[in-house]
Amino acid sequence: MEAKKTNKKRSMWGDVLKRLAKNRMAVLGGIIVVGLILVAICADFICDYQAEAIFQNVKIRLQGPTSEHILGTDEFGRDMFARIVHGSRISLLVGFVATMLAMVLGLILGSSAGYFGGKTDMLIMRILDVFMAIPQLLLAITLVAAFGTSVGCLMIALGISSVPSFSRMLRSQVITVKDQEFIEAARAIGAKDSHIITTHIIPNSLSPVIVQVSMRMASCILSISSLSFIGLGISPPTPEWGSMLSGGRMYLRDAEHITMYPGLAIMITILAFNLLGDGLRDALDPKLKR
Amino acid sequence: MENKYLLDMKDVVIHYETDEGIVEAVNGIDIQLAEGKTLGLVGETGCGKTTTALSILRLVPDPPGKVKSGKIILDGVDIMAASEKEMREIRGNVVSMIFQDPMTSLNPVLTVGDQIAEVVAIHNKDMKKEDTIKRAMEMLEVVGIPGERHTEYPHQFSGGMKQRVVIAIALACSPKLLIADEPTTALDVTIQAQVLELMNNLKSQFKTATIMITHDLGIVAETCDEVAIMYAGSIVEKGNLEDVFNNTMHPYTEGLFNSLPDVENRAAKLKPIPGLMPDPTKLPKGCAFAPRCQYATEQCKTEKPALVKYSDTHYAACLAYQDKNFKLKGWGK
Repeated sequence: MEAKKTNKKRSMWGDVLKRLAKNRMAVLGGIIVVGLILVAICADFICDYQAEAIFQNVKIRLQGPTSEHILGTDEFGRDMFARIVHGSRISLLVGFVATMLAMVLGLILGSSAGYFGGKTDMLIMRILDVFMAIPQLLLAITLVAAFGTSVGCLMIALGISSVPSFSRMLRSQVITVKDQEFIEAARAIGAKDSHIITTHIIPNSLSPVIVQVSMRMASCILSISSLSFIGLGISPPTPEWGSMLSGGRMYLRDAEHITMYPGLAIMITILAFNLLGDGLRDALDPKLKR
Repeated sequence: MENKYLLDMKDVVIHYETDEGIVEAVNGIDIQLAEGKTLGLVGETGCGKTTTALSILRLVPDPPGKVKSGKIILDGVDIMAASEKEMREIRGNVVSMIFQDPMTSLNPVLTVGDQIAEVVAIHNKDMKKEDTIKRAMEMLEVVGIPGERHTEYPHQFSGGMKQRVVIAIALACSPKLLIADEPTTALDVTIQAQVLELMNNLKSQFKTATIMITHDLGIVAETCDEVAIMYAGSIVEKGNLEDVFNNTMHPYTEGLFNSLPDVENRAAKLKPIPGLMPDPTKLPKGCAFAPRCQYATEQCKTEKPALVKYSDTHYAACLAYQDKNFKLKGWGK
């Protein structure tokens, strides 16, 4: 009885992490993502927001990288490094909140559509089909145009435009899970529908959702930058990668670093999330278990 | 009369209404089961055993399944008239079910302890979380698994152990009726014997009435008090073990016994019942077994036999017995 403590607790998620750790690209993606999150959290300790990212000093505008400003200065003489560091905050925050919003709404809508089927399914999916018919960025532009360009509106707009893909994926997943015997078994012990959905169906449908979260984060961040680039996202002077790109495009010939560094930041961030997402997909795929 | 039986099913008819036609899965079944008794429900694949069992829990998938008529009284409650809320209280608490395949009837992402605790928590709303886990550990010990393994996941258990966990879940709330739907079909023979022995012990320990659904007559002989033989959605013969095994009356039952390998004469060829079960979307007008029956007469093709009482416990549905001198050739010959 007492010497039995050796049998290790091996959960499904433990196995997934182990498989993920074997995938080098995914680990690289994961490290970059974690690094970005740390940078976003510690942005105020790395460089001062007011003095370096907002304060304009025209005397030193459009300078290339120097020892004082390691990534140079922009068209108003603001430190590029500070602006990129603080810009990560907006991108990650909006991307995260929008994705979470989409995930929660998608979970609720997709799982009820898949579980109950019939008329509920019809109603939910047809409404989502209408949303699906409009390209994501266009829908976001419309919503931002209608509700204004605050950070909150941007989150809601991007979140809502990501809901259909989450719910579609979850619905198909739920439909395969709900026909399994343990769902019938759960019903046979007297569990309520809501209980079955939350404790049996959703945890078993979650793996593609996790992959989707990672991929969606990337596309949301790209959307924020796109919206800011055309002036519908974050309004200046708040540092944001997309609006930095947009501001720098006038000086592309003689100060290419103003567009290059924010562009690199966007690229690396999206690459990292996509690498992580790909790795998660492989790690969560039961067919690849070895 | 009402409270004489724990389970009283009367003339239950269940159809599956699909686009291709109406599948007559269960055609007028009567089952009476007293408390603490075990009934073996025997029949070949697709004869409506599982549908019958699901109707007791009112879990026949709808659509396409429809309970057309009949009455099911379980522990004094009319199952057909109960509300969904009442049904949820009955399921798992008064009656619970063991499913065929232990590999798929456990949720892969929950620990086995949590899954046992789940039933306990559903039916004892005011019980604390720790107490439900404690109960889960007790149940694991009861089915012969060390209690501390409750933090493990189903994939860490073997097939036989998973089936033990399923049994623990089914018995966690000490139900009055346990429905076991081919509980050993997915297991290999040595494990089958262990699981059956465990079920027998637990049955006497918890005084649970059981409906054992199986197609294995050996299991019936070992575990059951009464037997009902089903064919194409109807009961063709029912009685206690002695009646059905030693005084076999229905030709189909005889055919089942004949299909068993003969232990004394191993070289003997198996004698399967010729033909196939009739298509349940178009059952023959007369006796459903007539096309395969060696005793069938013209009358069998047009007239449906009723279940006739031949002794206090023994019933059979066969027209041949209208001739008082009729006897089966006897099995094993």
